[in-house]
Amino acid sequence: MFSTISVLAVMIGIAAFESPALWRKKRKREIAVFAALLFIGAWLSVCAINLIQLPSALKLVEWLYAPLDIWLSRYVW
Amino acid sequence: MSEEKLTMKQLGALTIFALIGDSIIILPSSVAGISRQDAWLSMLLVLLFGPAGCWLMLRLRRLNPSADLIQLLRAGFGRWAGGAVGLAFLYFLVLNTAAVTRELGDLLATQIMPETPIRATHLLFILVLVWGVRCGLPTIARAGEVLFPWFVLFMTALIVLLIPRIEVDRIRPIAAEGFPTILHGSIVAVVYPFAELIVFAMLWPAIRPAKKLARDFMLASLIGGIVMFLVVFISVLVLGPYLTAHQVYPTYALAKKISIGHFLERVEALLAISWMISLFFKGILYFYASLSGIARLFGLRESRALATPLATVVYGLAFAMAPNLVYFNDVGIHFWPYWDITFAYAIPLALLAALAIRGKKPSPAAR
Repeated sequence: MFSTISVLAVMIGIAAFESPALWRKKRKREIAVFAALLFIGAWLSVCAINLIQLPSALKLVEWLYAPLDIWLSRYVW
Repeated sequence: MSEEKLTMKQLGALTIFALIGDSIIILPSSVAGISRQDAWLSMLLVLLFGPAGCWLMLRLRRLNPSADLIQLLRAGFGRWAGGAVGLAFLYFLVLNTAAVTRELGDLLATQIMPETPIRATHLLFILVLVWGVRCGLPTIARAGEVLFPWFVLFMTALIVLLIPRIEVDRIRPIAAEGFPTILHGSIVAVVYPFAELIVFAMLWPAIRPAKKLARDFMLASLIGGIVMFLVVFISVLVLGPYLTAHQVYPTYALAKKISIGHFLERVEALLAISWMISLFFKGILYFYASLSGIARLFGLRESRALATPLATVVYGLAFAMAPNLVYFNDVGIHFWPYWDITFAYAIPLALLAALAIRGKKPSPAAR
């Protein structure tokens, strides 16, 4: 629990430190991308700090290229 | 981010760093895992294939020196399809940044500091990445220039100090398993050093145009390729194909073998520091490229402020990437090479074909 709270505190700190300049310049796109990245980052980092194993990002790579790898290993080398 | 452009010397140093980057710690075992004692023959083939791939990256630059890959993709495939491919390319860049972070974390956690949680290593590494990227690319390049001689010194030390321990019998029989095996090994071997140089397709606008840019880039990549060849060759000669293939970090095991007259021993930690330098530069180039790619794809005017949120994504991804080292290395050997080839060779080739068919030059203003 403490670790989750500290990660969220860091995220709020980042938002407080970085985003006022963007608000002042009224950069809407920048703020949207900033918020999206920060939300994804917060979610992933909370999982990382609590040792929750999400489905691996490499599963996509594995799923995409497994047929090719099997085919090549059967017929080419 | 900054108007100052990189010089040729800095480009050369960064190319060699990005090329040797993480391949120095994982390449020998993946190549020797496939082509055994012929790993060095695979690496020789790579010296032919690799520079051909670099030519492709230079060809992309020739299209328009002031456009990065995201702009070129939009010019070639149209606004939406190009944007979708660009998004996939961004995922590739971010995933690669996380992979470099994870490799450094795994190296430290398994070999040097087993009691430190891997997340602590990741955090320190990513803090340095953010710091570097906020300083801008010229600063990164100057840091590369400063650290380069040290890196050369350590790499030379690794190779020269191991010469007394070479046993030529270890590479025999030569080419016993036939050409397809050697070719398979070289496909894995071309990916980590050469294909991942595609990051420079995102950095071309930041490099000062010069007449000899193409020559210098090719030369730097060739030098890096020769260094990788020597590292794989010497690890097969010293450790033998079996140990090279079955060590997680054969180069680290190799450095442990250095022993000159029972006086110069245990230098592996020093050498590991030099690999951390090259990992750092590879990681920071990918991080910078992801950041400028995000700014380009979403049409942002400012990307400095996005460095910290992106760093949190990379931090989480580096941990979430793989449940353990075994799975990570398995994907790295079996599937990652095709993933890299898709983004480094297949997509640029398709892009060149699309641009040739549409018969138009991409304008620098195209977003």
